[in-house]
Amino acid sequence: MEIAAGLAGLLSVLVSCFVGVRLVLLARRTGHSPELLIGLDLILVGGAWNALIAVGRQATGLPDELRAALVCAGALSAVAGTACLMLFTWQTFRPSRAGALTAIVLGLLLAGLFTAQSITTGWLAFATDERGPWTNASLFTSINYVWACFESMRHASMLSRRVRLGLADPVVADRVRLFATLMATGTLASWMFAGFQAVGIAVGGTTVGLSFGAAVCLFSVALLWLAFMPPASYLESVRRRAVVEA
Amino acid sequence: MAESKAFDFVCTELERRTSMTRLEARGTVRIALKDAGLAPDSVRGPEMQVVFQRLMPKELTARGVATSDEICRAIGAAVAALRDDASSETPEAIFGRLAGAKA
Repeated sequence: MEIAAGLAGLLSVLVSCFVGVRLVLLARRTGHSPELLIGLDLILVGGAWNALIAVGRQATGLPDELRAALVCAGALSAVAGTACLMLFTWQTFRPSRAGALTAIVLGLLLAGLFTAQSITTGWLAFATDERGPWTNASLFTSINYVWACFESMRHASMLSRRVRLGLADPVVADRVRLFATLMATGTLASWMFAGFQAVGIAVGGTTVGLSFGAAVCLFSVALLWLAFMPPASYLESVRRRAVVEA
Repeated sequence: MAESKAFDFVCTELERRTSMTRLEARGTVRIALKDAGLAPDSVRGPEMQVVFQRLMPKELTARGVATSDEICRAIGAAVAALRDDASSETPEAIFGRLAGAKA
């Protein structure tokens, strides 16, 4: 099970980074910030956070200082990546003063947790025994995901109604729906991981934790692939379904 | 948040062409927009035209407005010609770019 979960996690990290880099390159061409922000979120959260924390926590043969530095860098990636997701949600779905304020407040949640871990127990305690304020990171991240999830689901619902009247492209509506599902998956997974931690089940090293982690990784990879690198046959099926439903 | 030019325009026209009050006209258009998945603050002229072609006749008939088809046709044609407000980038435009769905 550990090998299967490891491969699923590795696949998730690689696909997140690949899609993220594609979006950052797209941002270079278009000059628009939303694709840059979501690309950086995928690289920093889906790629760097998961990879650095996994190595820092589980590679017990590494020197303590290096393990502490790895989890610290992973946590910093989470802070920056989550802030990017909040800014993306603000710019894309709620470009108002209230949206900007929500993005700033939610973006600062993880930053506060990072600071608390740094000045209290330190990162070695987290790397070796998963101790300190950062153990609440999953719970805090879920709050960020809830907002992105709510806004994207609201827009996905609106777009599906527009598609029926011929006012929106079914492919774009489907992409927003897939993104909303990705955010819902992130929310649910964060709650589950926080719940596991609360009852003392480690995500790494237990069959329950590893199985759930692997399932989340594989489902997220499928959503990322269909949303950002959809095969032509999938797009065709989306268009056919829209014609039937119209 | 302020409503779009298209929203204000059709509500004024509804008040002028029917016996609806300002509140009734705006409420009815809001209901139709919700059914269409559109928002009063961002709806554009061509979108409003479709709403008046496909959804508003039924809403007006349900509220006892006679000749609702003719009224909707006239308002729909007029609102389609309205110049759009300069608005910020929409979520559709952003998600359209993310996988290269639009050039």
